[in-house]
Amino acid sequence: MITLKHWKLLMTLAFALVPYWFWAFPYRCALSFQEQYQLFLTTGDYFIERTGVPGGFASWMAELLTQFYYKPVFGALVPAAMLVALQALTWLLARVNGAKSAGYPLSFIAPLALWAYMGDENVMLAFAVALVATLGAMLCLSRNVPWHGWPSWAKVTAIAVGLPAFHWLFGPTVLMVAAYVAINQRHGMKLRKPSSFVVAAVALTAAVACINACTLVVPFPLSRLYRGLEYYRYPVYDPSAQYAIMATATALPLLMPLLREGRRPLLAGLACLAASAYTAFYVMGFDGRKYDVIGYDFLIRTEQWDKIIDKAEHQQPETPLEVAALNLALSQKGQLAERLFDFYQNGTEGLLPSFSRNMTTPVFTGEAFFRLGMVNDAHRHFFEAQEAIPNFHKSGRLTKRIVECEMANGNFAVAAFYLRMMSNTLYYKPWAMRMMRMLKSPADVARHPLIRRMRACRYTKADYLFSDTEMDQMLGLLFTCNNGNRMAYEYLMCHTLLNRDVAKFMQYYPLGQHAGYSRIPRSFQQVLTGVWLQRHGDLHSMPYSVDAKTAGETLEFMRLLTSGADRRQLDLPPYCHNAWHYMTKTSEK
Amino acid sequence: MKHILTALLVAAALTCCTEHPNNVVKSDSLPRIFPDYIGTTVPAEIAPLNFNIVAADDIEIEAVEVTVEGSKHGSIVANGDFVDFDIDEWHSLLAANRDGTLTFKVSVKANGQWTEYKPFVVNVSATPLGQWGVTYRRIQPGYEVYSKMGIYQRDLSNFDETAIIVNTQVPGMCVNCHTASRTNPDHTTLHVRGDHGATMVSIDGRTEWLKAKNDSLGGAMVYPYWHPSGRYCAYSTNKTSQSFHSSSTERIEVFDQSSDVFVYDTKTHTIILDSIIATADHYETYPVFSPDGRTMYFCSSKAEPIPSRYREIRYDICRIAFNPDDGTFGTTVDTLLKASALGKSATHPRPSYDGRHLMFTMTDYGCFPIWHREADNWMINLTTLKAEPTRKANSREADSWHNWSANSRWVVFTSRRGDGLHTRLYFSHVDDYGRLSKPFLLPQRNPWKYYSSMLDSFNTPDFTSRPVEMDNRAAGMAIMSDRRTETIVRKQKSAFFP
Repeated sequence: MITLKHWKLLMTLAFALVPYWFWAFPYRCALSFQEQYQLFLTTGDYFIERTGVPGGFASWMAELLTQFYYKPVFGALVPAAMLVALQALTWLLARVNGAKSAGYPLSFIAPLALWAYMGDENVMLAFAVALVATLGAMLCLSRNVPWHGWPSWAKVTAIAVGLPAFHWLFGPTVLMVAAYVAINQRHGMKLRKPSSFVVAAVALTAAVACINACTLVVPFPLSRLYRGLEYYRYPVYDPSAQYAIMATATALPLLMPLLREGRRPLLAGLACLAASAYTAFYVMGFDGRKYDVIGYDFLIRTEQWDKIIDKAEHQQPETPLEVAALNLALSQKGQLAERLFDFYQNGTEGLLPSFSRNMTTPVFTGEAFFRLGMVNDAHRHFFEAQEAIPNFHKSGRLTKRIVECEMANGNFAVAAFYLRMMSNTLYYKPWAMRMMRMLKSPADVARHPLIRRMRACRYTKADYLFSDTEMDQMLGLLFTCNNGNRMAYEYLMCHTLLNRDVAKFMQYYPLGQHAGYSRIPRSFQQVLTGVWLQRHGDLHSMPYSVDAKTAGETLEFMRLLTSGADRRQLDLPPYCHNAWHYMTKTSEK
Repeated sequence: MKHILTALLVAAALTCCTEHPNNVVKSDSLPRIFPDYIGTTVPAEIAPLNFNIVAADDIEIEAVEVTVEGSKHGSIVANGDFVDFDIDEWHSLLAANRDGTLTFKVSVKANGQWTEYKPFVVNVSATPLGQWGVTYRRIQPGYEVYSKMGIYQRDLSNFDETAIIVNTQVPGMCVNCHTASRTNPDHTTLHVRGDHGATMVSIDGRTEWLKAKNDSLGGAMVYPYWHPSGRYCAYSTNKTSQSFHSSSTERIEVFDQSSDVFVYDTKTHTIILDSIIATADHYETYPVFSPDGRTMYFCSSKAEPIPSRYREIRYDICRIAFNPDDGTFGTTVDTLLKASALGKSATHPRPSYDGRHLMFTMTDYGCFPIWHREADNWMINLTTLKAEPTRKANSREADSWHNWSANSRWVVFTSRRGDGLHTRLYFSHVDDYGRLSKPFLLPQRNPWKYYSSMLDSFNTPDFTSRPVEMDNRAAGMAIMSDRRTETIVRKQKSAFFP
């Protein structure tokens, strides 16, 4: 029976469950984000390639584990296990160094800090793997393990060989090991034992020397080798938080023994300090706005359109990427033209965000192009997003999309090239194998629902060059090529509205007669009513089938607008959801 | 003694494990191999032409055995999952059969049955390659964004590849246009793009990093070509942009919105601009020197509005006299090949070092053939000025960027013929009439494994007479330091453009 006597175990269990729940449910999008920017291959060549740089084994191991994020319910076990392992190792190390039970809560500081740090979506799991391995190594080099009894020459030899090897496998966390070994020699040094000085000096020298020496064998600047090549997604970043965690994880097992039993006030103070530090880290790490975008990206990836709309209804999206996700979701649910102005809009950037040289933005735009039937542009955006991954990894999600684009374009040899690669993965393999079988028969490819739709939507009558200043013309061509592509028509019309270009809206509006509407979408009704009012002064003899409610609201909006009423009145419902509210706004939020 | 016994045991074990053909069924057809080396002509120094057997998915290749017999002397055998020749045996065989042929007898065990295919022949040229290897850039076939990329070199007598410089050295760096003088790496230039852009010029171990852009020039120094004296280097400066096709058969269009050619004098750090080859109404690009250094060839197109008339951009190959004594140009420009009159665009001219031929790439329009599926390489006989496609070496996919070996008997070029996307390196022998032999793909230890998993394209290849020695750490630091040598622009005003 578990009682309060087992409070340490209970604390650890609770600590295991909370991060697990955190990542398996509210922050599962974070796991998806990590997983989609890597493509772990189960081949020997991939292992050799990955382990060919310092810290490469940690990176390979992290990628192996990250692939399980594909299924967040299982994948969440990975970071939770990492944190628990870090906590347990911290405690074991502290115990080895003489810590008493009162210090147990302090063993959570480093894992809590790491958890907060992992809130930065560019922190790679390789750092956590390296930390765990490092604490494991430190445990092996502690005083109460066989190592302690080794003769000095054996210790020196083991350090001189072991630390460079450890560095090659796990990266610059080797500095933690070296520091730990050196500090552990303090008793000998106090007694002025030469061997202790030698062991400490060799440890520190070996760690620093092996990092420096790597500049001779791998093409990376020294600064990157000290930061770790795969601890962070970007090559240039501020490593202070990373170094702080490394220092904390090294120092805590040595400081915890200083806490004696019964020193409750000190314990409470330290706990408060830890909580404050954690809160600071949390605020710094988990940037809510950033995770909103990541959340939308996850919902697009999993095609949870209703959830995107729900999310937007709960909290208005503001950034172009969030709005683009919402508009895409609305289009997929047939609500774009109906509800466009029910939500905050930030111009055409919120419909089809401009191309940016990063790994995130092109994915949102690419997904819209992909569904519109602009196959080449979708391909380009997915390819470029993949190329923009700063640590040069590939992406399972994006490669899959690239394959679909290549198949739609009939580039079967290229598709097969990527599919062969993807057949060496755990989660993409079944799909890759299915597609490979399909490639043998062009007829089967043509029958595939997705490919068939992409081919049907694609503009095939002539070739034109993509021009983001002529988006309306490209969308118009798509729709005229295939009137079944209502998404193209709605994107065309919404593009003109978001551009506040009423003339073009009126010019393109008649195309909609081929789009198969049973009624005029509400946003369009509002614009048509407003235009009619501007031209004729009243709604009498207006030829458009406009709902009485929509017509009335638009009429009232126009009246208030022209009467010079307080603009704040127009910012309230139902006026703020009228197309003219957006159209008459001179500046965007 | 113990070691000898161990070695014998290992050898015995290996022998036991090797399958040899038995109950062989003869086939009248040639084996399907990757790469297709059948009927190619290779230099005697080339790395082993290892290959894989191509089979349908439902056929399991269990073993393959190949016997290669020289027409003059010797034979070697290889067997295993794929054909992997011993390098030393291979070179001995080729050396003994220079100006002869190698006959490959291939037996394949598939689904439990051995089949012996009709033998095929590979010709061993009497002409040596005379080069240590090739240099090339490896980069993913992308558009605007690039991930890991770098300049590499490869020993052509074996499979060793080493990096000359990789962009991991300087984050965000793009390296391109690595060019040696007549395959001699003592004279090298390299262009670096990115926040720390520069043009590197290295002569006999003395390296200078020039400012990436000279304000008077307006652009970067790209598409270099060394003057045979080693003092000058021709470049073009191009305002390049790109756009994307909607058609399923094309991907991207790269075009210049302006471009001029000029010569850089390495002694005085002077950029020599001449109004005759830097005109406003024409785009001039891809400058190269003739082997005697007295002529500069370049491509020129009427400056049509871009991008609206991008399909009307057609380049002709022109030439102008160059006086290396004082670095001045002649007063008239000749048109060597009026490709525009054929409704074509001729780019990337490369004269052979013996001065007899000039190879270039022909496309329907534009200046960037690598993204044009119709791109083919052509050859001009500089004596008769007759131009014709290098038919045996061309393919249905883009065949483009090429360079000559120092003895002008071999060319290396890039082709997308494999899968339509990734450019790979191909080599052809050039006969006395400027005809190219059937090309062979750059050999690899296990070609199928290598090429089917290699995400990079190979581009801008050139031969190198010996390994390029670049301290990439020092280069990285030099690039990061942003210490740059200023260049001076000297403008000349010549006659009119005819």
